[in-house]
Amino acid sequence: MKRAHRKAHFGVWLVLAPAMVAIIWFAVSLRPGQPVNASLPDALVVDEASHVS
Amino acid sequence: MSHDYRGVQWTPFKVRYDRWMLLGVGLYLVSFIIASSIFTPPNESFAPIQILIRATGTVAFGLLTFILTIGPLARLTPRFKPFLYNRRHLGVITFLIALVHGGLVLLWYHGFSDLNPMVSLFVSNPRYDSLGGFPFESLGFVALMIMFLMAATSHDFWNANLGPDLWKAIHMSVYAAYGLLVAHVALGAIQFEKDPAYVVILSGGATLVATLHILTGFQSFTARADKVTDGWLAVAPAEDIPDLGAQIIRPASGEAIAVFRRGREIFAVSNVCRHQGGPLGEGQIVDDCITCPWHGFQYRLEDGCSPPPYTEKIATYATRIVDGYIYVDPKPGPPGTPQLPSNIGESE
Repeated sequence: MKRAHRKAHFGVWLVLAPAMVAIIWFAVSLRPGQPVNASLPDALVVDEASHVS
Repeated sequence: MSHDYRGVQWTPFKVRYDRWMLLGVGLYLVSFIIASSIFTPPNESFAPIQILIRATGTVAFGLLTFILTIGPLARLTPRFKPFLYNRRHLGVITFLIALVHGGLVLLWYHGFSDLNPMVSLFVSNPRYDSLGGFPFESLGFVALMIMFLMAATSHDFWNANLGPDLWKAIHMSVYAAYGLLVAHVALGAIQFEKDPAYVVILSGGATLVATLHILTGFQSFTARADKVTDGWLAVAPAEDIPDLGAQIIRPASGEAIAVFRRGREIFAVSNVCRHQGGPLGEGQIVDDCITCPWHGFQYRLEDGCSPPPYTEKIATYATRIVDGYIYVDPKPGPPGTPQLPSNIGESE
């Protein structure tokens, strides 16, 4: 490959690689959340008012 | 080579390769369709055409990913050179599969619109100002057009008439097409498909392609021939070059030089093939001729001329061996200049 082509080729990938990573990262972060299992109990909530000091 | 044109230059190897390639694509499509029919949950039913859209889309993306890994992998290991030699056919097949994918999308999602389907493709989702809701189909369409341009100009007729530099520049747009396809899948299938396999395939494929290209590109820039003795470039110990193979050296200025060994003889020629600029030093000596790994163009070792009836010529370089170490004169002779080989064992 000619020197000019090698340089252009390398330059293209230096730009394209981070652009692809950014778009994939963005797309994955946009992805709708995974469905939750409704039968699992919620986190335990402590009722402060019922505590007797 | 270049004295005439044929529709497709078939060889028994290419025929066998293409048969395996088509068989593989066919098997993938059938397997995808069967697996989709079996594993799709009962509450998510898809029309057969939707399954076909997914099948053709995934195979086209997978093939393009594979095509883009062939070049750097062939630099890292010679096992991939047969794929390099047949990359063009694979590219055309990939375009045809992508065309089927695009056609099915146009038919299924825009064919029933009041608008012209092509217009509908671009205006049915007008959120061009939103990255999250971007009309991802338009990205796929632009990528498909680039692939069409490449497939349409893939024949040697266009290489000869456009010139290797312009032809190469056009065909390097495949990287832009790949970037567009990554965005097309990321903003499209990744948002709609629940199966995490799509995320794995997309990120794995894109990471592999980018890493290989940056790694081999970096290697080619660091492999400089910077040792100069009396104006001659130091190459390597003569015994280090494999018989019928070559070592590439990159002078500080000018094009790379391929130093070949045939038995006890050492020759040096330009590393740039006259056809499409292929790296001759990554090729081999076949029938006493240097053979380009890209498309099989051949040059004689002694003078850099293609064997008759072909007329291509590449530059040749004088060589010498001192204490078993090869040196090359970085000033090339005019293309086609005969050079006497240096002989291993006859050190100066």
